Amino acid sequence: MKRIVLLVAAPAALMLAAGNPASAHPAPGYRCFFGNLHAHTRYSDGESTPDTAYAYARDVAGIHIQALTEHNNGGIGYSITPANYQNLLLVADTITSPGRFVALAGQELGSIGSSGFGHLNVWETPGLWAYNNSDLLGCYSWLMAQRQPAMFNHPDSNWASNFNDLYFYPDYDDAISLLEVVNHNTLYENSYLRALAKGWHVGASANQDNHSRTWGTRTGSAGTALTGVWADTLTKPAVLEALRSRRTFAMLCKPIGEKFQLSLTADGRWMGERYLRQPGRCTLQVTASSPDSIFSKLYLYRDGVIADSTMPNLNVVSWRIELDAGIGSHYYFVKALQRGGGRGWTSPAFVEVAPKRDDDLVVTWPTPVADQGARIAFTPLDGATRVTAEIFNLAGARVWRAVSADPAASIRWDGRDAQGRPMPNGIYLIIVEQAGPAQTKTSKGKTMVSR
Amino acid sequence: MKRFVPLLLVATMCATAGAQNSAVLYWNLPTTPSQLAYGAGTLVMAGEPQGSAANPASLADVKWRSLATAGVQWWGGVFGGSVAATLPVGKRSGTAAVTAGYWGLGAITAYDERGNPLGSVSAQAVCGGVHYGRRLFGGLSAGAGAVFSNLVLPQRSDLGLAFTAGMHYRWRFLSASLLARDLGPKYPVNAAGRGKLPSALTAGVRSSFWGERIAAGLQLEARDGERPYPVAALEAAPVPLVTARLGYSGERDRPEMSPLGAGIAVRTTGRQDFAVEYGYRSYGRLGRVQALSLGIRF
Repeated sequence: MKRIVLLVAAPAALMLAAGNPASAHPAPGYRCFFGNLHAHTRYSDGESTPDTAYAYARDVAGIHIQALTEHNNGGIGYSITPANYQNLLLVADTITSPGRFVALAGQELGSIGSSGFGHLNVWETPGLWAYNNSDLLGCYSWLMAQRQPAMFNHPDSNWASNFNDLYFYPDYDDAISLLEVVNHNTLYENSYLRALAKGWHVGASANQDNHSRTWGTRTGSAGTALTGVWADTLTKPAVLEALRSRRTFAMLCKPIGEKFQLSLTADGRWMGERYLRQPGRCTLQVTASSPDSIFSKLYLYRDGVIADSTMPNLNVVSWRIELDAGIGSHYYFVKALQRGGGRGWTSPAFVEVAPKRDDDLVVTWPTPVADQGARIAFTPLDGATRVTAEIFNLAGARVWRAVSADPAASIRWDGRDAQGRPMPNGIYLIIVEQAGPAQTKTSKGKTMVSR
Repeated sequence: MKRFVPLLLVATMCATAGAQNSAVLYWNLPTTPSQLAYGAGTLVMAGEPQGSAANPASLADVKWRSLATAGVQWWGGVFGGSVAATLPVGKRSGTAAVTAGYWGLGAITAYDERGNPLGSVSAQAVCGGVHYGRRLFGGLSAGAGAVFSNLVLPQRSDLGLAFTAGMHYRWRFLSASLLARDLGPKYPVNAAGRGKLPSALTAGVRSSFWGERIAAGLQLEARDGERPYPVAALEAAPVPLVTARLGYSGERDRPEMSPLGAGIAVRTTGRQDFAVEYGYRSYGRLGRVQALSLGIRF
């Protein structure tokens, strides 16, 4: 049962200008900025200097965000040196002009050689990763500690191990926030779908991977790759927050220079968010706008499969979809096609629907719990500000406890006790307490560990 | 009260790790009213075959045949039950006991990683043991027991084995016990990933006075990976045939468990003794636990 409402607004009324942050875009709360998050200079294997690259992206390409992500190969070959990285950070800070342009300093980690795991971008870390060609988990662990956004670059099985075939490690889910759906002229849509299907919570990004003097303007037959970033202001902290929150979309602009805006909200929450909700109808809101190019088709993907589509043939589209969100964990994203060849992919909205049959029920996904641990899902309490989850064995001993300040998200349990030991097989009781200013709700559930 | 002279037994604590890896978790969970009321204190206050079997050294004092069955309603939709029997082997050969237990751990909805329901899964555990105690000389006796617990999960089971050895001394109205429990191989014995058994050392005393109308026990329980804690138990028969029970546990590793447990027993005496017992303990937010048993002594 779906109800689709297609709203059309007059383009003139919206005063859209793709090169200008679109305050008139229907999606409220944030403004759209355009960025290129993957590029190089001669600090590794590119051309020219960082200050030239940033200035080019700002003044010639006319984009709002430019990241330089020099290779970090541990000093081998074209790797950036620690001194140059510190200089890159300094230059990026100097060139950044709040409200006009944000320059990000980053590094491209890893190797695509035969023993490497692939390439990852991370931005604005204080130092370089101590390079280890094959230590993927060590790299994830380091990224987690940095608390900065990171991205799977050009994820393709043709490249080395491709992050162990994009194997999902729940403990490192927070290490990576984005995935390059487009790298210059190459699409990695299948990798995007595979990463999401495996469990990664990643958003969409499209970048140019510049190695020559084309920062922000590199174009191929498929178009010009750019990342749309929805941030509240054009400042470095706001942009980094948006990247961490996956409030992004990937776009291939075609014809050249035809940037567009694309956004998705689910139940009023922005794409990229992970949230728990009660069973019922889920409302998705898609907005797409372009100064001139016509959107010929929009596809809604649900859990990797096209669930709906529309053919607006307009350059400003507001598409509202209502559907029954089944119990479980789902992700939704939108792919947009333009008549001129432009394409876009939103980041997913990650929706977790707690079981309906009992308002106070707590469950684990998966059940039984094995080595990978599980997420503790529960029916959220409106207005809750703090959630506490506790796990007890049958003897009544509390074996694990966690406190979350995000009441709208499920809580992850790694299947271990408070001392980090794997919990033995058996039955365990879970108590979740949600505390809000007005009330407290206690929910209980039972789970099984079977390794 | 003069007869109530507690003995002090100094216990040497053995320490490893893995308190949750008990091979005999389901054996150690109480199924009888007295186990529920007294907690670990049952080891010095045993009144029924299940409790006597948990302290095999004290079996030497049991000179009658008995049979008991008990059921317990646990929290979380879990139910348990047990049967136990004691049998004096011969006039000088001590007493044996056999026990068997079953735990229905309930059915749970299975989910995949994305929360898609996959149907229902259930679990249960069976456990049992053989126990033997006999008098050595004077009031001193010794005992040993072997127990197993088998946790049955979908597509696998976990088998645990454990042993108990202990000494028991009885002098008039006083008795004292020293037990080493849950000794044995790593758990589960049939899995590649196995953890050390959290063995336990228990020292306790019991005394009865006022014509056996009041009995009290004091015990120190030390289990690997947990903090040692005291246990006290009191049993009083204010009117004939009716016994009230009260237990106290100083255990702090089970924050929801009430330190107090309570119970009541009604007995008939004659050629055969019958007993109906009830026990209760609160586990706070987890729920309440209550047990009912029926026993015969002959």
